[in-house]
Amino acid sequence: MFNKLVPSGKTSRVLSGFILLALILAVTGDLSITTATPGAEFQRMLSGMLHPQWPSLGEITRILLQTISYALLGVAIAALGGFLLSLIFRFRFIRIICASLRAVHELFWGLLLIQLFGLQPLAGVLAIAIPYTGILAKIYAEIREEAQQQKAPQLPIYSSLLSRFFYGDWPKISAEFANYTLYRFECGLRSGTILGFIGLPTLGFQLESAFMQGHYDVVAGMLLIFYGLIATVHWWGQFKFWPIYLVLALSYLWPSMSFGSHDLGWLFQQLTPSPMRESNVGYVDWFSPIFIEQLLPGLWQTMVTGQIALVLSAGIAIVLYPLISRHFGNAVTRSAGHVSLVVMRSTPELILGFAFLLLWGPSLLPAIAALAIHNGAIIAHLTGRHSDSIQLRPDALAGVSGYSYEMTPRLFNQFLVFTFYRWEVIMRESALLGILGLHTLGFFIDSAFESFRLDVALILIIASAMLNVGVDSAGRYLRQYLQLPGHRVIR
Amino acid sequence: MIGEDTDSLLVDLKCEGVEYAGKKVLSPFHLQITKGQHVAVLGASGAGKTTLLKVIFDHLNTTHQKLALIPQELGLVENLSVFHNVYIGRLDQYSTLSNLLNLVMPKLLARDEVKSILNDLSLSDKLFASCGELSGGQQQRIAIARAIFRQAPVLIADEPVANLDQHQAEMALKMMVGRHRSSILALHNTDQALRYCNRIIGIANGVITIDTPISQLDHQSLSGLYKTTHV
Repeated sequence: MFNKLVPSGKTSRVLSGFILLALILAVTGDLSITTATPGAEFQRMLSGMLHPQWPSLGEITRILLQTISYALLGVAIAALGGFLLSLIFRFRFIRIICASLRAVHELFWGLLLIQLFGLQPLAGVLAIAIPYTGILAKIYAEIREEAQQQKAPQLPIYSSLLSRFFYGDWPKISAEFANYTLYRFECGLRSGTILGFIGLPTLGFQLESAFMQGHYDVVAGMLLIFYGLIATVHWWGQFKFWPIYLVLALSYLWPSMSFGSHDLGWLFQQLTPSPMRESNVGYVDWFSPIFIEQLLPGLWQTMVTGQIALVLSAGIAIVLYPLISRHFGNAVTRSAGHVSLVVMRSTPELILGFAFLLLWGPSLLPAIAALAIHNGAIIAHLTGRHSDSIQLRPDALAGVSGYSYEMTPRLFNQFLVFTFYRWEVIMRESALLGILGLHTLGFFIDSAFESFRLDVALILIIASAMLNVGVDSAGRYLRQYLQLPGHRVIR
Repeated sequence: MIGEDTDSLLVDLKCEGVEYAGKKVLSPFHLQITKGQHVAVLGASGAGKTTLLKVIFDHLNTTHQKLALIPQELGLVENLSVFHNVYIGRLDQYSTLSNLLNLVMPKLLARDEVKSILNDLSLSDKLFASCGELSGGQQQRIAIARAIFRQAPVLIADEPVANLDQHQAEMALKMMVGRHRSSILALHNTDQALRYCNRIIGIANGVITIDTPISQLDHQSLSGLYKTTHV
């Protein structure tokens, strides 16, 4: 018990390794401020933020309806698909399919689906629905598994499978299903928002164009609407309203949806590596430039960004968690802490990254800062909440000594669990942030789509998915190696 | 004493004994129970009552008889209402569709029937209370109601009245014995066994030491049952 309070030799070695690697990458990597006057731009940004400009009521309504409809339909489809897949999740084949669905970022799905359906709601809805199906199937299966470990209810043996499920299992799991699905809906609102960055008419579209034109007052208004949407989702997003919302969302998006125009055969042909389509192109000639000029540098920059951001996130979290912990400060500082962490963690990385990019110019720095702030706030929130469950003896030290001698050692292992859990997410987002123009995988994927080289895009998307799966298992391995507590659903 | 058709056997079970983790829990026995019998299984805790009931339950299950079961841990679904927990007793009698509809909108007929059973167990005011919020004694009565609602000819119950006060226990036993043609009940209280059952099986250390109709028994001979287990 006592030896758990101080990082063991193994833990220190692993952590030193991570930190050293991040330092080396930071020194050698492309981290620089390239804009001439970042200070002046920051002032313009700040003054815009202080004087938010509201779009017209009609415009707000339209943007909100679009964003909510995408999220709602996407999550509803994913919940249904995820539920069905969770019933057969014990098959390895299904688990692999689900892992691949969720390893590809929703924006990459969006880019792919836009090729098939064009810029229309169906592409956006499915871009959310597909990866979320993979996520929900896994979580639902885990919730069910956990429920089955509880004592079994006494049910007549010959009742039908469905009756047994809905009378025996469902009452035990429905509350957790609902909770997690609502949490995913909140994520869906964020995803729906950033789908605007690839051209769909959601909140992100307006945000991006306002950013581009330097209308920071409009940006501020949009962001406030976004925070309002996320902050109130527990109130308006309850399940009992969903049937009405679904009908509204469908009837709102229906006129602009089209199902007939796409050509799946054409898409598959385009996605096939060109040497397979055209006999005059050799595999080596085709693949080696992609590999050397895009895949390798993209993967490298993605990993550099991700590794530095991971260490920075952890640093931010371990410093900030006392902001919301009941063991530190008072009611006022804690409320302030909650508000700042909520703002930091609800702002999507893509939006933060865009703002930093405008401030500092293109290098990996904006992406790293965006990832570190967003994920640092999430880990700080989880760690702070965990610290509330720790009971200290009445004469325990307070303040900085209490922080460093009592609290942090006690929650360090749990903090590491949260951090390793974010590792994969950070890597996935790090690849994505390339679509802002930084040279992570997302940049090359986006460029491949722009030049209609879909076969190249597919190769790069698969590479990024494999990176995510690899990081995910590395995280699992490290958790076992360091004998950290297990986790199931963390949000 | 034994019921109308004495010639039909409910249980004819030759058991080679039961071992659990290399330890003998139940010695070999040959047990016959006739339809119409109400058997009390008596013995100190750990004597093997639960194992004996399980062996009998599994055996009866292979004969595809309709059975009602009250296990010691009750097997209630905590997040469901009292009504739905009792309704579970007949889950295999109704169609799947009707079961699912009943979750959303309780059937009137079933509701009345459940209510009247709960009424006899002084629980009718809790019809739509959530099962997990009720006390241990109340939960035990819900499990009893579920068994009775099932309308099975045979009941197997493992200490079904252990958490009830004397008045409630008497009422519950009367119902359990009265509404099932045959029953096998593990009990603690010899007095209750003598009053409501017509045959007593006593177990000590996994061995059936007593098996007689109650007419040939009294408290004296039963008290030995508890002594032998306290080695």
